[in-house]
Amino acid sequence: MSTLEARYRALLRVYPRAWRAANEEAVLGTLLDVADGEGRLSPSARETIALLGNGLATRLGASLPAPVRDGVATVALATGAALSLVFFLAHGWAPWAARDPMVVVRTFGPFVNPGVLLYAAWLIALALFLFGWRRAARIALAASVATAIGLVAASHVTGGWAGLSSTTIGFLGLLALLGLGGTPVAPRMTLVGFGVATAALAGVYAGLGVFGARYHGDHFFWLVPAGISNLGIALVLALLLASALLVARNDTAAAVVVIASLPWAAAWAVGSLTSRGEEGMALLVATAVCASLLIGATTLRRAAAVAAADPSH
Amino acid sequence: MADTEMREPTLFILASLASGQKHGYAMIHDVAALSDGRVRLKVATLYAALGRLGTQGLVAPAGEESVDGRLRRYYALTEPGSEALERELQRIEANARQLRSRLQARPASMRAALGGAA
Repeated sequence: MSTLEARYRALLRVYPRAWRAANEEAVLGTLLDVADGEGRLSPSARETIALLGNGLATRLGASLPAPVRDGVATVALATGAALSLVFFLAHGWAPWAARDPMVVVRTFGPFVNPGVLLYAAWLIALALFLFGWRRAARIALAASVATAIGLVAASHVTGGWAGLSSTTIGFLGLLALLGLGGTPVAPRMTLVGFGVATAALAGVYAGLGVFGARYHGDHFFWLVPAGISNLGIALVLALLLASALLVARNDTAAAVVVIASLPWAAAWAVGSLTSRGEEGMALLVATAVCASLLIGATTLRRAAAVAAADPSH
Repeated sequence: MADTEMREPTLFILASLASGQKHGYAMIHDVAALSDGRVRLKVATLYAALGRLGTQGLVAPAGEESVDGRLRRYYALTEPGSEALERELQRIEANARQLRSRLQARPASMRAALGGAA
């Protein structure tokens, strides 16, 4: 075996075993033909990146069926953009709270904090997707992850600023990753989801007086409407919904509910760890989260078995 | 699926197979020639597209041969693949006609004004 062939075989290990059994020799033959044609003795950078990217995508596709990833991406894009819009108005800008002494400290131009960059990336991603520019929307979502990482780093360097909790940054980061894991389904359905989520959140905020003269930082969201008790109840309801969908043999929808709940479960876990004296509820919800993961794993195994039995895959 | 716009590499792969079955390396060459060197398919991208098109029934494997110890797998365009390519070409042509009609309907005054400024 030549060195070049060995290097290509090593790269092809990124692909799942079943894919390699079916395609490795044919792909390797073409890779070697192309390298000969270009007079190369090592894989080019462009080719290496393509092999790694496609290999990982094939692995993800083999473990999570595309309809599940697309459903999760739809939920993630709609909720992430809805949160970004409401957070931008209530926590990033809050023009109505101009006289609140908290907001005198506007650390980012006319805005309370640089969180507006993160919110903007999300809203741009949604707009691009709705206009049908899917690739550009993915770039904007990826940019939101980079922004989230940059904000964490900047916060450490500058000693922090008023607001933008690490839970918000981490949560939007997780949602962006779920959004990148698939292709949101129809723009119309995504828009409806975005509208419903925005209206619901804005309604809750209005009811809690967030749009009043007193400024609330974004940690308010994680303390009150999405406090650990409420999140725990919501996660239990999501679990019940997933169970009902499984009973109804709608495995795809059940898996979407379970996976789309994971960022919320993570936010709940963070909230529980940072608070004290909630052992009873923590135990209840921990059980719920574990059961959700179990149902998710079972669903995926069943879906994988169906895919394996289908000769077209 | 039929109403979804095809991405450029997919379109060129189907067009390449329309003139007869080919193996991967031949397709990469043919697509580059068809596009005047603009579309340079990466091997990983080619096989990802072939896998997807195979699942959709638009292309199918058409035999293998070993040349100098290297496996060459041939692919062929299926009947549904040929129909999908035809539909996509009709869509592109219809779009081009519409867009050209707008360009031709451009007011003469605007053309003269910009022409004069240039």
